Amino acid sequence: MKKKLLSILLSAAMAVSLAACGDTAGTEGSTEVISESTAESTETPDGSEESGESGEPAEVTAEEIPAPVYYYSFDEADGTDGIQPTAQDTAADPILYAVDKDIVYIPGVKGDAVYTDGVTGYKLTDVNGVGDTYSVSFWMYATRFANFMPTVQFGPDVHGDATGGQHYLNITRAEWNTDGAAFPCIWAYDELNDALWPAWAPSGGNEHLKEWINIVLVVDPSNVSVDGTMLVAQLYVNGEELIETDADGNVVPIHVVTGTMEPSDNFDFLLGINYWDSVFKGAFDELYIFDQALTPGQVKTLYEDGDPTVAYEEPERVIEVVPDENAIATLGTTDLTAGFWTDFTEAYEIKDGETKEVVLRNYSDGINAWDNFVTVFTNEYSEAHVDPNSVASEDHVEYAVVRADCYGWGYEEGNDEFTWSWANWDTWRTQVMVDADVTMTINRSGDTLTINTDMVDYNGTSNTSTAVIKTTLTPEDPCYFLFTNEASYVELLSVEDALVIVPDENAIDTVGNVDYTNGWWTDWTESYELADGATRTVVFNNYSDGVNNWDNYVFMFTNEYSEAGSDPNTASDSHIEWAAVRADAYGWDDNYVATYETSWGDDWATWLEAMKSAQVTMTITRNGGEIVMDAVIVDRNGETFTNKTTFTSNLTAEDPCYFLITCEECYIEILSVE
Amino acid sequence: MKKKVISSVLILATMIMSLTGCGSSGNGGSADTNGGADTVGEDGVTTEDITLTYWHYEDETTINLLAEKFMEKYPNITVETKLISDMSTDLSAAAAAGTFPDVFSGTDSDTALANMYWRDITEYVENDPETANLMATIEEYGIGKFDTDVRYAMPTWYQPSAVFIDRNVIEKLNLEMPRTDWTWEEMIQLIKDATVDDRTGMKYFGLGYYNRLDSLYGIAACSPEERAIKGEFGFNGEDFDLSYWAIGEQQFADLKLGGYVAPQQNTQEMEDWSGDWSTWFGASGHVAVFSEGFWSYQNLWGVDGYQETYGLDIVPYVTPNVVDEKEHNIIANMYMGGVSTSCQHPYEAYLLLKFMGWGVDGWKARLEIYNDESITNASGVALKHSNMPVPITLDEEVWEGYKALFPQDEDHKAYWDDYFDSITRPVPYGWYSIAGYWNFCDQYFNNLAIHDKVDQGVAKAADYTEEATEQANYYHAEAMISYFGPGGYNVLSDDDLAKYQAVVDSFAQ
Repeated sequence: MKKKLLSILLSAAMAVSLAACGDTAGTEGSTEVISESTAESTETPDGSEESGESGEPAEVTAEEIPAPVYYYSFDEADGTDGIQPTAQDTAADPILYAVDKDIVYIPGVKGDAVYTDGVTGYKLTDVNGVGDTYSVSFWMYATRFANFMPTVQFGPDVHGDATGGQHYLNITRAEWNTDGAAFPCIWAYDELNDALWPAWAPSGGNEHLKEWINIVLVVDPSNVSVDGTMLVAQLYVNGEELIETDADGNVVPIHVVTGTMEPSDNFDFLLGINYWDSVFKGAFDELYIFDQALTPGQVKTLYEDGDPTVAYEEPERVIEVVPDENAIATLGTTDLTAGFWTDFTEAYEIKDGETKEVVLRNYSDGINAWDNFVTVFTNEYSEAHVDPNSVASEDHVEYAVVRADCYGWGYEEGNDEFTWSWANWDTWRTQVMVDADVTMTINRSGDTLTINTDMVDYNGTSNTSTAVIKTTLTPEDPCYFLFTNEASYVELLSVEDALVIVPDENAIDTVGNVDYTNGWWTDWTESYELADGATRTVVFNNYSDGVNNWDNYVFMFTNEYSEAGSDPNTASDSHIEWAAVRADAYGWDDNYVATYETSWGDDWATWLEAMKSAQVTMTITRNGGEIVMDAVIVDRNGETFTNKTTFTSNLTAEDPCYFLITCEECYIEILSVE
Repeated sequence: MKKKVISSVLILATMIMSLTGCGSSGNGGSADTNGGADTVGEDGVTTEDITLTYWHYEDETTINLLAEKFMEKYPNITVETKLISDMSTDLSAAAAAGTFPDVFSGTDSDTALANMYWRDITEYVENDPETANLMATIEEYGIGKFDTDVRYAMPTWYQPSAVFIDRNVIEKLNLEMPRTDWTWEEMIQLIKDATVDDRTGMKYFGLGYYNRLDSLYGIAACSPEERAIKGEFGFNGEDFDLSYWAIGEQQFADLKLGGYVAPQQNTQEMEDWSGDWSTWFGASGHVAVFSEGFWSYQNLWGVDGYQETYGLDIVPYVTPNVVDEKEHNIIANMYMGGVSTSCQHPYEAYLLLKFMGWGVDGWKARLEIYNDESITNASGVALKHSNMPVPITLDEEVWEGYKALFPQDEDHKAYWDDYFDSITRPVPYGWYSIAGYWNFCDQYFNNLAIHDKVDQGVAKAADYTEEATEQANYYHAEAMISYFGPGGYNVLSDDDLAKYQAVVDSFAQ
């Protein structure tokens, strides 16, 4: 049973004095922990009396909680229905998508808790809005936080996909206060309602990392902001309300936008993941959603129902070797027991001056640094699964053997130079290489072999290494490379000629860097006038890293001339940007309205691959305030794609108009502008 | 001699107090503007019962205790304190509400100058014998005068930059501890030598940083003969020269790109290195040199048991100079404090400012407070571990007491003594002491994300030198005219005005 409506929770509904709670989370700085004030005086441990009006915490009595609309125990025994492991890919559409992944349980504050590994979070697929009167309660344990990292985030249109306006509430960690990062912060947004974007943070710099913590957010629509535009929420940590005061002692209200719990076909209730930020790592437990505003006593009951002293147990990572049907070759066995020099791929020729790109997946037992793939360079071809030495001719030469762990032999000692990016070999061995997506570029130039390797781990983190090996190779010598391995299972996915940018000497201008390290808004072409009624044609080469859709050309339309390499925004005080139009059928600026007709439809992966190296012929026609951009894109394999963008903005027929090109993590060569 | 001093102070105080009745900018204050001249004591201090408000950024408990000490000394003066949340917002709100503080000390000098919140305290400072015994750069560089002849503020809370070394790491790596009067290049070399990856678990990093090295380098870049740098970005009181900064910026970026710098807290890189997302490199036991805030020692490393827990042995080193000079400038955090233009009791307010900042009596009171570790703030922290400042006064008694707050054992005392001897020429970060500096950073420098680009190897620091220097000079000149020209305090000479206007005009072309 994945979800159960809790009828009554009586066990904890007994009077407990606040002093017995013991936990004083949130008492640092000017954040006060207060409880429901009572007029009655209470007995202090030393027998003296103190008044509820004296500023001391007053007693709150635990009360019976009402029936929740949704309740997730996150106990393994209750099943996994409606708890969907969810991944985020900001370059994909949709950004959030379900993944087929087992839910991992660890001990929680009551029974089990669900673990989030920092790679995927959860979407509670059965949850929909319950209206503007609501309370959300949950337990969590964070082992890491980053700015704006979500814990619980919900809304009728969190990403704005359905309505065009983002609408959400995020219980997050932020660095809004000068005294450091803090949790819980409340950040809500209603883009279509005057872009209301209230944010609230406690002072004291407490992130509550590595502790079980109970959060309850209570929203009662009868509590509205002074200007009447927003609601004022109450936030409880471990059963006690957080009250933030400003320097004058005035309470800083927790403003939230209305409607974040309105039912919607596009409603998201997300745990540890959202559309923009880093994914949470830790655990969630005992999540309730009520359609009413809880009392402090009911909040207290929810807190007392959990045991925050339960030890957090990071689950052991289980590596599952899943053979890839698309692999062109495999090495070793899936039980990771292959001995050294027992299995081999086919050998691939590499000529002098060539660069090959190899993609493989490496599964290792993680025991030794050398329990991974190994690259072997010889002078002869050999077949797959055949020991190259066993079929070698008398002239067989082994130029170099290079291990993944930056170690090699077969050449004169000292003729190698290894560098690597990782700072902990244990992490590399036991966390990265046990399941790594590997991309290598192998270059042969004269007597030198250069191997650049990028090993991407389960977190998506790149671990890069470079090996530069001086060998006995001469330009005339034949050279082949093959792979072998030890105590690992390796799937060779592709071996191709690498994409190498050879700068075009005829280019009249360039934008960006050949290594794609240029950031956004860092380089620009000269701008070219686009008179009303005119048609201009630009031919350019587009080289991209292929990571994000937006890592390609961007056309900017402005009202004035600007020089190459010069920020057009600084051209003059009267500068106007009419529109920005990206290659991936996206644009912006005031009153920008566009239609896009792309030949690739939803096949963004194919288009991204094509844009890694493509020649673009862009024909731009201006008719008054309307601009039509016809792009013909021919990729390195001769495949043609088209993209027709038609847009209007604040530009009128009387306005001057210029266009220029900029880009991010991309390199562009302008070949002609006519 | 003593009597003479008192007399001069008395006369001065009487004179200024009589002037202030006309000079109020109407920002608030409720005291009788006519009172004072006839009711001062022999020490020049009013004998009337008055209230002074003091706004600050320090530890609240410390300041409240100091306020009590001040009130013990001046029983007729009541001091009310307030912790500033945001200087610009709080002060503008107070000005609008007529509740402006008499004295405030903060981090954002541009806000105070742009709004003429600070009054002229030149005469008080210049006639105060105690100010003759302050760290030399304060007078030499006119810190608090903002390149005018008028003193608007005094440095109050001071913490110098510091480099720390973990002796345990040096020992583990079989390296030699450097001499305490080391040079910049010796520091860089140690950072490189101490970056060791022996393929067994965690790599040793040469450097862990809070303060970027370019900030440190910019002050220590050359001899005074080459350029008399008195501020960030090669500022010499007249103009900027970012070519000095660029060398340090590039050197720092090259260290980062070269793998000599430890990961930052709360990053995947940190988790991959240390196994824990939230590890601070200063507690890793795998970093040799730290470019840290002084507070890192006081608030963390200096707390009983901390170093033992993490296996550290941290000692301070002077921020080195490029030129091998024993006495040189160091970059520092220096809050600027002043008396507000609306204050009705400016002399008493000045005394309060001094007591809270650099005054010997105030520092003796501080030492009493800091020595009593049973006194804690709201977070339960002993006050000497809560951003305790460094004395600006050179008073020997104060320094003897201050040094005693730090390790005195044979193994460590010499390091601390050498360090403290080396921090007597502070130069504040730009936003404390250079008009227009913040606007330059906010509107130009940070907008270009120069640090990020250079750190990532996308650009070279030298690429920005020429344009950034022009921009910095422009922002400074514009601010000087705005703050101190006819539309502001109106204290610039015609020549100065023309000089700054020429820079602005030149930039516009």
